[in-house]
Amino acid sequence: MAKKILIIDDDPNIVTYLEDIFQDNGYATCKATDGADAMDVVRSERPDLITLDLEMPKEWGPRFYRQLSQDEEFGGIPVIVISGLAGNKYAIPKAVASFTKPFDREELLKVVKETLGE
Amino acid sequence: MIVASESIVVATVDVEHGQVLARVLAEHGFRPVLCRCTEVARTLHEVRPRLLILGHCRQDGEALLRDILQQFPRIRVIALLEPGETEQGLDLLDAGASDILVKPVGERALSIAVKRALDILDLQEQCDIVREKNKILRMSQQMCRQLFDEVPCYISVQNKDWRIVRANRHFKEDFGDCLGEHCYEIYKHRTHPCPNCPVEATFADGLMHQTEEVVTTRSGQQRIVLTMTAPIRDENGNIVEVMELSTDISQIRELQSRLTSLGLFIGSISHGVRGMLTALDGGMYRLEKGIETGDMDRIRSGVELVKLMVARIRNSVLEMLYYSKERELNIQHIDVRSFAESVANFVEPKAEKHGIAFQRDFSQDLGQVSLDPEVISSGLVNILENAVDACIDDEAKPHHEVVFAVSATAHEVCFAVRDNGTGMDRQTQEKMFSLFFSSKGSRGTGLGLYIANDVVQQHGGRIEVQSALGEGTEFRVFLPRQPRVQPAPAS
Repeated sequence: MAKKILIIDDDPNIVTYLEDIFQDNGYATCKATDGADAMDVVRSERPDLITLDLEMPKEWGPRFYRQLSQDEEFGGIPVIVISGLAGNKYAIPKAVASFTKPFDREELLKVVKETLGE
Repeated sequence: MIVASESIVVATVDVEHGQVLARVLAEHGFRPVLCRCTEVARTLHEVRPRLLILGHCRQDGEALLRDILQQFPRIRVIALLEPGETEQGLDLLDAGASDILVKPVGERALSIAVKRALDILDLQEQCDIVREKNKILRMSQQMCRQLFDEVPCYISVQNKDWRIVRANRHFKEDFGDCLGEHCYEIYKHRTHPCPNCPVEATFADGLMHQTEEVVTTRSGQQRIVLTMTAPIRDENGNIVEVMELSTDISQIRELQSRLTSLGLFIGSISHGVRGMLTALDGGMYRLEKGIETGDMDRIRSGVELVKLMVARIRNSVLEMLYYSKERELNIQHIDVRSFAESVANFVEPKAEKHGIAFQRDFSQDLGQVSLDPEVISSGLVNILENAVDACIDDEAKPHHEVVFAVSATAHEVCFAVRDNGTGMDRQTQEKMFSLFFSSKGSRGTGLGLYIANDVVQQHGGRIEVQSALGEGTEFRVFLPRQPRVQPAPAS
């Protein structure tokens, strides 16, 4: 069964882009448009990996990450930060990787494959 | 001062008498040079003495004396007379002799006369030196005054009570002849000394201090000045006054603020631009994959996405150009009332949320106006939001209201924003349009009113402000019905 990636980003065009990339490479995807809804999606979709934007209107990425990491069941899901903020690697130090938009597609796919063990 | 070895010429007809006089002079340490009356001019040329003892040379001794004094105006002459020649003696004194001695000349009389003549010569020389020094002093004073007045900055000298005791021309031109007034009143229209006053600091530690200030000239113009202070000490080294030298750096700051504003703007839009570029990548990816797989739907949606992102990026670049002053105003002919309604609609919810009454007071027949609705509405929204903030911050009154009044004449439209919030002190009023000046602490960026003022001025309009601390503020934005578009400030 295909591994599932949760895409959290408030920009629908970027969500579509990430869906395209991951689906073209054989992954299943699901999405959340802000940090506030994302925890519900995690519980219902049980993703294997999360890509996380930092600046979102309702609740910003680091707060979601704090919630996620404190969750007993889902706290171990690896997170890749994809954000327009410079220096974003300092926002979530425990993230698997941090990409600044616009990101290198091949590099992102490489990290995803390594993380998901393929 | 008498130089003992100095030469004194003795010119007589009677050689023996001359030799006696010479011996006496030599005994007193002088170097007498004897000559005949006929040789007196040549001898004086050779010896250049300060003193001449002139014997009874000929009948017209007076003419000879005049002749000598004409050639050697600084020489002093002691004339020798035969007994009974009182009249001739007076004539000689009249002709310029400094003294007369009657023959036979005793040693004491000669000694007194020579000493007196040389004392007078010394005094004369000292007078000459003093006169010369006075001349140099006058010239120096004049030069100092000229430098003080012409130096292209404001110079004022303050005493310990912050009163201006001296000021240069440039200062007087822009701030008036205000000697005796307090510097903080004249420069800043304050009632108390400024916080962190550099004059006070220099009085305290005797060191130079530097600050940057916004001052207001008597014609109401604001200048950003770099102020330096230096102590003025009395002869005992006590600081009695402090000199304040202020250089107008408004143009430099204007340029800096433009650049900083551009930097801030780029910083603020960079997050959005990064998102747009990523989405553009997404469109390109979709397009490429569509072409690879021959999927027309994917190609079509890819092209749509690319077009959308290119349009957004284009707008962002245009906005950036506006901040770098290369974007022209997008003047549109619009209905004043509906424009005012849309501006009010933007702010009203915020006022209501905080329990502040928001009133629209729009005159009938407001007509049409030509303006750039985007930039003017953001300026007006900024002023209205400031009014709401001033009400939120005011804890003194139980009821607050913001009135948005719009009126018009044949030539201009006036958008007035009145609030009964905190009001502003004079200093805040003077600084409020400066870049990065904010009275809101960390809540303000110091950009809002700066940009509002900038765009109103670009339309050929103006902003008038009336405010009283604790009572409230009224902003009135006047815009001509037809904008007289102003050139961008030099930057």
